[in-house]
Amino acid sequence: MDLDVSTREEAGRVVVVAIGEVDVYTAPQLDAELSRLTADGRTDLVVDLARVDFLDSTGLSVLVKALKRVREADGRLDLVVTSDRVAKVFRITGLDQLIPLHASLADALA
Amino acid sequence: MPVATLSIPPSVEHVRTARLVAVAAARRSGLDEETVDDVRLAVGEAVARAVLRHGAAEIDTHVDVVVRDDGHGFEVEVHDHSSPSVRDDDDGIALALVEALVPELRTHGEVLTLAWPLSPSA
Repeated sequence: MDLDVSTREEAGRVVVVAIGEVDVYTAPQLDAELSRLTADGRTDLVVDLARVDFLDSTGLSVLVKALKRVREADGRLDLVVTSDRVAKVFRITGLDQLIPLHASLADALA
Repeated sequence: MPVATLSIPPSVEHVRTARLVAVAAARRSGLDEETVDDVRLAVGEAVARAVLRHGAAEIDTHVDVVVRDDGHGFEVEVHDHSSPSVRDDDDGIALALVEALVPELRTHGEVLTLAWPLSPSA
């Protein structure tokens, strides 16, 4: 399995945990889960990417799409990013200015 | 002389293979780990873009990837056999990332070359 996506509730928020690589092949899995949640009106989201060791522009597009849906519903989207490799993708595209990045799930839920 | 040549079907599940080959070759060439990360992302983006463009052009020709190390630099060629008239449907994010990550980017016909010059101290 290149990517595993699971969802749970924690501290009143919906936490989506992705494990593996988010790329042009696997990003549709994450997209499907985030689309399902936002369509259900669950728009207070934390996407935990701490155990994602690779994320490409397709993954970024999925997160930006989720951000739009969450904002339309007055919800929130926070990300947990621990790897420098993944953080760099957000930094060079400037998306770290648009979506809050946190160093741990505890930080994101605080 | 190429250190690796790879021909992948224009299907997104094969992009990871191209990334893995490029990363292994980049390490062998002596690039530092941060640069290897750039190679991983940039090659992944360039190959994914070529694969998607082949799909948009409805051709099943393979995407060819050639990795070279001539001692002065590490290069990855991505051969995109789709038509130049095919439009990227990602607003150009993939190409923008490649441009941000690669020190020398050359386009010659259908070949996009991503080049990392090796400094003598590296």
